[in-house]
Amino acid sequence: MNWILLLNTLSLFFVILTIGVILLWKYQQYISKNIFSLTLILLGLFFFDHLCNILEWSGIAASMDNWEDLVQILQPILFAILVYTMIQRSQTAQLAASEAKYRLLVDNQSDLITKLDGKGNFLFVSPSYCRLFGQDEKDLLGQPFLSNVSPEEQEQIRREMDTLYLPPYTCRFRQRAHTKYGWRHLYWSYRALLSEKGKPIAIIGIGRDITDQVQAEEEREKMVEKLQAKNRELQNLVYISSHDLQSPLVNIRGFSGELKQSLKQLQTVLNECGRTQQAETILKDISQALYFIDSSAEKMQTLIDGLLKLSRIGSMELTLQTVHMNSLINSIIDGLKFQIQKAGCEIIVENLPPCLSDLYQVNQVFTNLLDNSIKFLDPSRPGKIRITGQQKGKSCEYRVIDNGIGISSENYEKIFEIFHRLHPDGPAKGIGLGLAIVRRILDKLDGTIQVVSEPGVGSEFIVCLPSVPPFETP
Amino acid sequence: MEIQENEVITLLITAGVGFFFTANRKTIRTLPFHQTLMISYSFYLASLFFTVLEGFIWETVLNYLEHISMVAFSCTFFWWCWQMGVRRETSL
Repeated sequence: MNWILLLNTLSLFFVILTIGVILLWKYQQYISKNIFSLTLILLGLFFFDHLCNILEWSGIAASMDNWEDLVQILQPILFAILVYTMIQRSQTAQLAASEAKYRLLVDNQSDLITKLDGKGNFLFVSPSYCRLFGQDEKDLLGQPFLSNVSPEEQEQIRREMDTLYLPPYTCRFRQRAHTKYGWRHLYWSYRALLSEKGKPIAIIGIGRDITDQVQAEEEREKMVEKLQAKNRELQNLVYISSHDLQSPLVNIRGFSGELKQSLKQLQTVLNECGRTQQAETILKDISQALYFIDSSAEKMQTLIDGLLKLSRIGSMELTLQTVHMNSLINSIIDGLKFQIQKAGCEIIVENLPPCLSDLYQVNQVFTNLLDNSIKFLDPSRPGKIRITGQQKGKSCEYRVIDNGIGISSENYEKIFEIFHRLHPDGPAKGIGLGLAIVRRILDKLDGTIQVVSEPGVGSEFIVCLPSVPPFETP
Repeated sequence: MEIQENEVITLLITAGVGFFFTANRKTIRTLPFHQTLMISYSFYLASLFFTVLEGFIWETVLNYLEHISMVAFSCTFFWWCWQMGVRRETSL
């Protein structure tokens, strides 16, 4: 048995099978014609080579050395060409796939993407840009970017774009552009593409239509202005009405005093003439009515004073300075000495950090808080008030902690309402303005106030105020 | 058996192409079923190597090896073509 002949036949068999497979490639669209043809030729060469060998080894035909030699030399060359072509095709296909991927991203992007040359002319515009401006890509390419910008903004944008030639080679700006839908507000972010030598060669811009946002901002600003005007109007109203109410009140109080005097004189006259039972009753009624007029007028005066005080907070001028809290609290305690002694309570002041605020207003805040704590101490146990403080980042947190009667959680917010009194019939005097004033002042001072309390245990008022910047700390 | 010039030239060209493939192996790795294709080429190169070598030593054994390598080449090349025909990956 001739094994060489058998092996050659086997090789030829595989070559024929391969040619069959290759012919099927024709129906596969993803194999290019070049590769198909090259593979077919290569297999043709192998077919010829093996056929020559078989004919030679079987002795059917004479040696065809010359042709065989040529075919054998061509085989590796063709093999190399085939692989090289495949590499080329593969790279092209990868590039096309990559481009298709990025094209998909760009085509479906709602943001506007542009590429400009150094003179500001379009090198690329995304479909979203074409859609917004209602123009074709080919019409836009080569056109200056500024052609769609409102004329009054062109100079400013040109200046902004000039900054792209300097580090950090970026710029951002808003512009008004004339689009298919009329004038729209666009926000652009540009970055210059640098050459290897670091010179800008092109500019990439990403834009976004912010018209809705701009309109919303304008509406918000108008609303804020309106609200501020209303607020001012309201403050003036409170101020003027409370101020104007003072004069009739003074009259009422003055004339009621006159009436009291006249009543005394009448009593003297009647005593001299001899009183009747009827006169006695009338005098008693008048005296009682005068008492009610007087006490009501006094209450009204207190309310008007409170309202005036509250309305003045809104318009007060602040003088920011470093407030040394320990000395301030000590002076407040001195001022409240009488109440403290009367209540028989102990006040502990820890080391407090200074804050940056208005001395007079901070004084008012802590006077009201301490006054409140003293007023609402629990008479069944010795009163104790502790004032602590610590710096927390850019603010200082002060706590006024007492062991008073406490506040239930549902009333945490109500206590800061104007004229709201939790215990209107209690022994503590007041009109329910103290904590409302405290909150109003703290709003003005960029501060906050919170309360944590438990009925029967005590209350803790937490006041936050801006801290003193490091370089201002004494 | 004597050494034939054309066989040496073919071996040199094939080895040169093999060197080209080795130098560009990173790029070749991107080709579909590149391993099968390179194994197939290695068998082809081996076949030519045995062809030349049989002129010096062990003529009969190396002649067998030459033809066995050629069968292996044909078989693996067929397999590569088959894989290429049934794949559904990137276009070429």
